[in-house]
Amino acid sequence: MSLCRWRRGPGGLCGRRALRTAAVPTLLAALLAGACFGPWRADLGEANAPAAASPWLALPMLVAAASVVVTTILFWPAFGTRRPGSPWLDRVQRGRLGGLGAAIAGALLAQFVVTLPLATLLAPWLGAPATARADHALSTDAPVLDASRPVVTFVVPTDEPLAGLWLRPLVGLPSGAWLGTTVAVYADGERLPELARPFADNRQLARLPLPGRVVREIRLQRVDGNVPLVFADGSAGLVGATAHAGAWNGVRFALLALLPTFVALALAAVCGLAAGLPTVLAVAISALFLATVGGLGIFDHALLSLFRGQWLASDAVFPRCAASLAVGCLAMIVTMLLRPRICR
Amino acid sequence: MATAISVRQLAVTFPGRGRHAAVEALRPLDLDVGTGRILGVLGPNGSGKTTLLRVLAGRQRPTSGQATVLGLDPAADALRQQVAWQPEGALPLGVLSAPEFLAWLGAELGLPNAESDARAEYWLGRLDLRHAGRRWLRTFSTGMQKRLALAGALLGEPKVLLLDEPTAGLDPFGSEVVMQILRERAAAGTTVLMASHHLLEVEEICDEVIVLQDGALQARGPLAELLATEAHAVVVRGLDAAGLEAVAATARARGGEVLRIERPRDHLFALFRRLAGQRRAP
Repeated sequence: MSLCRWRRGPGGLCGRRALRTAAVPTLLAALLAGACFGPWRADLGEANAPAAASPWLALPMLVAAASVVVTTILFWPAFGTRRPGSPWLDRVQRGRLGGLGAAIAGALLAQFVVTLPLATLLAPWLGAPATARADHALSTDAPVLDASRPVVTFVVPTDEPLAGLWLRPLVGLPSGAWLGTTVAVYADGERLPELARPFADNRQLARLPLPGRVVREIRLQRVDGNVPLVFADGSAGLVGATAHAGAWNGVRFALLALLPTFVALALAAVCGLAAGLPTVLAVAISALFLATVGGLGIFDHALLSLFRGQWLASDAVFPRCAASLAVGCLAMIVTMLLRPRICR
Repeated sequence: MATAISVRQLAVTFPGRGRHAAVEALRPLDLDVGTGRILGVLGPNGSGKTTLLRVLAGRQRPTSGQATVLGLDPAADALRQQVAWQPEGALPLGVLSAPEFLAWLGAELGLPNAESDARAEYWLGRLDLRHAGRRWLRTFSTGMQKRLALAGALLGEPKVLLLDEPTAGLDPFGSEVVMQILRERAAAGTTVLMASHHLLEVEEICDEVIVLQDGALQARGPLAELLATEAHAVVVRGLDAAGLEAVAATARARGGEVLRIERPRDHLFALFRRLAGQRRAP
C-alpha cells in the first residue's frame, strides 16, 4: 500500500488523530515537569545520581502514552462491540483485524513523534548524560565472597573493550565484629587499583576504571574484613569503552516506550471482541499503567538506563522486551483468529 | 434480463439464550431480482427486512438456504466494491469531515486517490453536502448523515445497492434528490434493494416490492400488478354539485358503479415546496 493511501486508511487517520490529541497535553505535562524540576536541580547537584530526575521525564511520557491509547480506542470503532458505525467498518475494512493493526501502527507512530523531543531534548535538560555506554551484567554460579570462599570469578560476556567495572554486592551478617570487607580486583590476572573503601553496607556502590581493552575474566579476591558479600545477579557489571551519542539513546528510549502502548492497545483489541467501550478503556489504561509505573516490562528499566547513561541497544535490553512483545503479539494473533467475519 | 440477486430457501434463525427463545428472523424465502431493477422491501418493524439486507451484504450468515449476489457468495471479497450497503444507524469516525470520510471509504475500496476525490466531490455536491465543509460528522443532522451515507454507498459505483431506510430523516427535498439518484442508478444498470417504511416513496420508484411479516414473505410482485384495481378515476374541474351528479348518473346509466365523489387535495409536497421555496430543488 502506498504511503499516500496509507494516510487515508486507519493508520493515517488514527495517527493524525492521536497526534492532534496528544500533542498539547504532553507539552503541558513537559512544561509542568520542567517547572517542578527546576527548584530540585540545585539540590541534586553534580554528584547525585541523575536517575533521581527520571520521574520528571516519566510524567510527560505517560501523558503522551495515555492520550494516544485513549484517543485511538475512542476513534477506531473496532475497539469494542456495538460501537456506532461498526457495520460500516465491518463491511468496508479489509483484513481480519478490521483495521486494528493499522490503527495501532498509526497510534504508535504518533506517540513516537510526540515523545521523541522529550527523550532527546527534555531528558538531557533533566540530567541524562550526553554519552551512553553499554552495560554488561556479570553473573556467576558461586556468588558468595567470605572467609571460606575468598574468590569470586566472573566470565566477561562481551568482546567489547571495557572502560569500567561497578560492584553493588549484597552483604550478609558477619560472625564477629562488623568489619567491612576489602576486595582486590583482577582483570585477566592484572590487579586493578584499590577500591576507595571496604564493603560494609548493603548495595554499596563501587566503581573502578578498566584499561579500555578487551577483558576475558574478572576475579574478586577477599583481602580483609569479615562481612560476607553476595554478588547475585545485578550486583556487578561492566561498562563498555565505546561512547554512544546520548541523543541516539534518547531515540531508542522513545522506541522502547512504545511497547507499553502496543501492549495496552493489543489487549484492548482482544478485549474489544466481546466487551463494550468502557471495559476496553479500563483494560487498556490498566495495562498501560502496569507496564509503565507498575514496573512490568521495559519502560522503567529503559528510563533509568537513559538517565544512568547506559546504552539501550545492549544485549540486556531485548530479553526485557520479550515478555511485552510476546503478550502484544499474542493478543493480536488471538484477535485476528477470533474477530468474527460475520457478526450480529 | 440477467439476475443480480438470487435467494433460495433462505432462512435466518437467531438462537435463543437462557430464557430468551430463538427468533426466526427470516423464514425460507425465494427471491430473484433482475439487473437494473428497484425492489422495495416492506414490512413492519421486526419483519426481517434488515436481516435480509445483512445477508445480502455478507454480514449475516444464513441458517439455511443460500443467497448469491452477482453470482457470488455475498461475503466474497470480490463484492466489496460492487455491492454497497448503507446500514441504519450512525456513521463511524465521527470526528472526520465529510471529504475525509469519503477519502477513507475510497481508499478502502481501492479507488485511486484522484478518482476517489473526484467522485466524492461530485456526490457531495449532488447531495448538497458541500456546505458542511470541514465540520465533524458527529455534528451533522440525521438527514445530512443519511445523505453522506448514500454518498459513501455510491462512491464505488456499485452494481448492487442495499439501502436500509435511505430517506428516513430526510427533508422532502432531500428525499426527492435521493429518489432521483436511485432512478438514475437503476437506469444505468444498478440493482437497488431498498427497505423502507415510506410507502409513498416506494410506490413512486420501485419496480416491484416484497412484503415481509414475521420473517415470512406475504406478497411479492410488480407494483403495477399489486396495486391494480378495477376502478377508474375521472378528474373534472368547473362543475357544481348538480353537474357532478349528472356525471355520476351517466356512469350509472352505462352500467358502472360510482364508488365515491371526492374533492382531490393538492400533494403535500407541492404545498411544502411552495412554502419552503426552491432552496434545495434537485
